Amino acid sequence: MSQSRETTSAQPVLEVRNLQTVFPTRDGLIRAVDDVSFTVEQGKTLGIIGESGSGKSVTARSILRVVDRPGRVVGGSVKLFGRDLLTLSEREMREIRGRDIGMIFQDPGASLNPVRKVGTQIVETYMTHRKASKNEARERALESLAIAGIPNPTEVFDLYPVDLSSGAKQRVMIAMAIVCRPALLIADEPTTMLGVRTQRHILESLLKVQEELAMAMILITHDFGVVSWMADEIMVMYGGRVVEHAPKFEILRRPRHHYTAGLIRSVPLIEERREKRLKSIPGFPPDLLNLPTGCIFHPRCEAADGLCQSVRPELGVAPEDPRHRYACHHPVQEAVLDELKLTG
Amino acid sequence: MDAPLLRVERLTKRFPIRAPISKRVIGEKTVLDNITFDLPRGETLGIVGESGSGKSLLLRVILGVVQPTEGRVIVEGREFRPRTEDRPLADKRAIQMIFQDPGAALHPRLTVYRTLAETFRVHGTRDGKTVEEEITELLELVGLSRRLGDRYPHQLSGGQRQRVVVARALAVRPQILLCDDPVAALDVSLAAQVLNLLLDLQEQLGLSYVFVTNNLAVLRQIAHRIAVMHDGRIVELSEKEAIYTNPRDEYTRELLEAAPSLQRSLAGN
Repeated sequence: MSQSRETTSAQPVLEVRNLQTVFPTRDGLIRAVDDVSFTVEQGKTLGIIGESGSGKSVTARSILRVVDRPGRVVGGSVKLFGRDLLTLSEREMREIRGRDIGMIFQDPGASLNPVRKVGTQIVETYMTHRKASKNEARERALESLAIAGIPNPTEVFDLYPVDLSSGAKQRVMIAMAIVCRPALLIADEPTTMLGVRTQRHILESLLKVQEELAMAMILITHDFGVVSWMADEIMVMYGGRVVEHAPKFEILRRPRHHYTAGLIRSVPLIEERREKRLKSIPGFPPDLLNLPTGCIFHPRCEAADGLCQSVRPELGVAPEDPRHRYACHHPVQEAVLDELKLTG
Repeated sequence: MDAPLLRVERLTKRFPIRAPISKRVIGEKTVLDNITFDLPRGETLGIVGESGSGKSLLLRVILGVVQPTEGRVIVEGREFRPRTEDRPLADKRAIQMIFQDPGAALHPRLTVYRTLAETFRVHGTRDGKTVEEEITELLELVGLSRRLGDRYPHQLSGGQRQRVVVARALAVRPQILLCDDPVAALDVSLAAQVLNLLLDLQEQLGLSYVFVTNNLAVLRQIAHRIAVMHDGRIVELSEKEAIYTNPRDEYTRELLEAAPSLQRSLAGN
């Protein structure tokens, strides 16, 4: 348990303000994360959705301060229980990672050492951060495996990664990420490589883990179905910027940014649609080296006019709902979901 | 009744299991088990299954790059055996394939133009058409501007690359396009564009698709009939709507329940 945890129930677990991360390249500066702000509260899940290049993963890596070179965080603050992680030394940061913030990535195979038993690896993670005897660490590892949905922890403890299915590997990764009982779990596309049934089981486990440990969670995905199921709030990123952010039901029922509305219209659904064709968003994602002026979505937007081409819209609070933020000069008026033929 | 465009008859593929060191054959594993279906002209058969179900292997057997242990692939009433050496090239063109990862399917050192030109060099152009004319027409067909012809694959977005892969497959005027989850690696907005492109091409050219995916939501957009594959077998084959509204097999129901659903999310699960 981090010391500050019990005393701060009113304080958000994580508070990110005006985060800026850039990648200097030969051809110019890429603003991979451009002025991103959000908070995550205890027991809540923030879903970050965006396409490749939207900055969703770089945002997560910036929080953990593990941005790949030559990228670096150049502005803003990342406060975990009020303590700005961007001002810490690398040594202090190493203690935070794995202890206060757990991480799960897309490819569980790549994050496990193939020649060591999975139990040993979890024990090591625990003992890196906690003064504990081997026996105590083993107990915690077994407990974490059970919470992560491994039905036979004592058996799996002595297996090597190669002995595990991809679903079981991802459960081991979850166990490792939560063994120190972090306040925040960051999951970056945790189920993208898994089959649909395994995905369902892993996501259910994540929800259970989160509830049991009252963790805050950031779930990064490109999958609208996954985020709409798991998240309490959804933040939509495009070209390194936040274009819309609201509680799940608000953003699904009444998206105000044309990009969000476009995503909802273009995602294939298990449910029948009124329209036979998906309504795709025209054009292509922006070139980060050569971003459009004004609103960066304007070349693909049907509502764009001269204002959108010249003035960058602020990420403002919706007058009708203070929890709903969007950056658009001409917000969507119609209820997008009515266009879908949802039954029942 | 006319013979269907494509008939897959009792396709079976077994692989030998060998002992670790002696490599002696000690058994057999059946990875495709008695697969049979018809595909009428202008229709799409969706095949849904998880990894390991054999769905991608099935496409490779239909294409003829993997030999089946038993069974036949019949195109317009004639057995399709593209590996037979004395077959005229024309016969091998009836079936083409597009892939999940369009980046890996394109030669990194060839421009779009040269990639397509290569196909025409091997297969020739239609009468009276120059390679230039053929390529311009193809690019237009898949919604790419002629300017992109000078680009290399890494200079294209994922959606543009997939369009190039589709263009190359269409260059030989196939009747059947095998689609191995061509939108799985694409972002949402681009995936919708590619799905719509495939629907447009089907309308314009009367193409037939066998579309393999693990995503039942994608098939709702594009398939006419759906086959559910599990452990190398088809466990259910129905008209599309029946799969979603009245699934008969337990495994199909599990897949449907596991699929993320906007509606269920809105209802609070």
